[in-house]
Amino acid sequence: MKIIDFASMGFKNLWRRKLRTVLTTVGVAIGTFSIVIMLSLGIAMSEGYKKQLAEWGSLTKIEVQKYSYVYDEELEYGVSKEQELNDKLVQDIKAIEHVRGVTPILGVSAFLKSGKYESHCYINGIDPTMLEYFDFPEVQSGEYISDSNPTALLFGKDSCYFYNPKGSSAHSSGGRDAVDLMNDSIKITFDNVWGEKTPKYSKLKVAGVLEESNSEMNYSVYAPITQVVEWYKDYNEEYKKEKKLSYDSIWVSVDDVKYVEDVQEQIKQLGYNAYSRADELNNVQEMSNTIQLVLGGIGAVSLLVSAIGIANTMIMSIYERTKEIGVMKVLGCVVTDIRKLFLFEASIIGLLGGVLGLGLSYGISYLLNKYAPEIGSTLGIYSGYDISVIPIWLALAALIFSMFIGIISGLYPARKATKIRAIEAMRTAE
Amino acid sequence: MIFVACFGSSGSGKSTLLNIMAGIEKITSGEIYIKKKLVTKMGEHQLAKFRQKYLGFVFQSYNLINSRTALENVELPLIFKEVPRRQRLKKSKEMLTKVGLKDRMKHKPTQMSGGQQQRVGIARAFVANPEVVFADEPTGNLDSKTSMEIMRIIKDMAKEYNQTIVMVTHDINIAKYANKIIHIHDGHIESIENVEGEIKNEEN
Repeated sequence: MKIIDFASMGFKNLWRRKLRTVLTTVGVAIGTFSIVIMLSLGIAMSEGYKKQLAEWGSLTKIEVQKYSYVYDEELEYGVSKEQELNDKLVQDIKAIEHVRGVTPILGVSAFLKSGKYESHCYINGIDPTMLEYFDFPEVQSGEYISDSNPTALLFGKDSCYFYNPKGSSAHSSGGRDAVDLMNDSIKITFDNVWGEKTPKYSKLKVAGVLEESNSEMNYSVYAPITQVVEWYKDYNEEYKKEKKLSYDSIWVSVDDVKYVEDVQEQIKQLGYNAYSRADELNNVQEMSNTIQLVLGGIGAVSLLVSAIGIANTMIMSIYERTKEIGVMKVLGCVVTDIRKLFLFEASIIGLLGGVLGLGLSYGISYLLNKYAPEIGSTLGIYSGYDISVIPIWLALAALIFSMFIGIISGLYPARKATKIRAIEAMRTAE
Repeated sequence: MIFVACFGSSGSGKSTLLNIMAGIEKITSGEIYIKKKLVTKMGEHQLAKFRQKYLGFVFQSYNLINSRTALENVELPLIFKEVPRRQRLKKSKEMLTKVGLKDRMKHKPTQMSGGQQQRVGIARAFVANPEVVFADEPTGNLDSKTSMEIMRIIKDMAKEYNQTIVMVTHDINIAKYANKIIHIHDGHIESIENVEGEIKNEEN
């Protein structure tokens, strides 16, 4: 028999048993739907988390911090360990393969004053040539910092909270927008403003202000590291005592996410603890895999039930079609064609169920994404991301899988059909 | 044309003989050759292919598939033989016209009389142009007038394409349409009778 004849006979047979075909198909649809929607929740969960991580900071960034938290296996508790971060380490890390940018970070605190407003802020020294590797937001106004103008600062959009110490009402007490960084006249001092000496102010130079973002850059102030080191040496009490300089942290940028772990490992071999968002990502990945497995498993149970439904429907139809099968055999239909016909019918039920289930999944997924956040936000768990995501691969896999389920559940009935003996079959009444 | 009738009372074993000749029923000993091919040693697939090519069947209870129209029933053997659709339809319509059902092609078996159903059965048996057509009591469920019509059609068909008919019947009037009657009694061949008149007719 030709494929077109299988199709025409198969569809005719299914149409003959409309109600049963439809009911079985609905069963498969529900099975497919429950698997797809369950997996879509798991996928959305891990995608949402990935996006969130990416927003907080680049996934290709590794940080080596001065104070690293170390878990002591003997003592069985975490301790804070101080590691010395110097220029030699910066050079050593730069030499590691796949590292495209390294910068030391050092902070000094400063005090800003503009008219009646004042603000404490922390200025981070960074290598200005390395900004491009660390996903800095665009400048909203002005420009990035550079070594040619070392005392000019780069402000994050919400980096400084200016307050009015004499203000009484909320309105007059200040805010992040109280002072126009680019245009207002602002004074800066690194002296201790509460010390015995009167602080020496100088005029603040502003290189630029960054655009708003969700990253840490939004809340920080930056200056060229060489300048910050000078300020640090001049004003830091600790340095004045010990004359020892250790950077707060070292930022490392890796050229591809897949090498982050390697580079991190090599930094550890230099004797330093390093931290990256990729660590967290791995944990999340593992967790979401487990969740998806559990959710998919729940869905799989209903698909299993629908597979039994298909098998049942097909076996029923064999009993009804015993005579027909016998006649077909006598008229010269080869056994393999009979088997193929039954498998075709079963796989069509599977596929139709798959299509229906997928359509249902897309519909419910759409509704979930549309209405669940509203409900979620009233409950205070709004995350801003879709809670159900059906990627193309999942849709295709669902269709193939449902058809596959059809074929699997058709195997036994098809085998049974081929075993029917023509002579007995023809004697049964139709 | 060779037209053989196996004649005997019910229970004489004539139907069993036909079934084993056609390979529908398995035998425990002995051999059957059709066209010098050992039918009894054939596997199921081989046997199916052999039936597609050489054998046609007419049954007492017609054995039409009720969900298919007359035309679709006649088409079946050609579908199994993988004859292209256009050719298949043409041939099937031709056969149905020959048996006088030109305006019943789209009817389902349940919408037809016994005689009409058997004519569909005959069209189906002959459509693939087989060399041997087995007919198991083809008129067993029909009244005598219709029976005569049916026998006429079978005989005309076979004559036209020079085919062999092997028929089983318990009605001597029907058996007489053959040119050779094999009398069967309790599973044994009692006698073989040539129907002279008919043969003479053929030669003329």
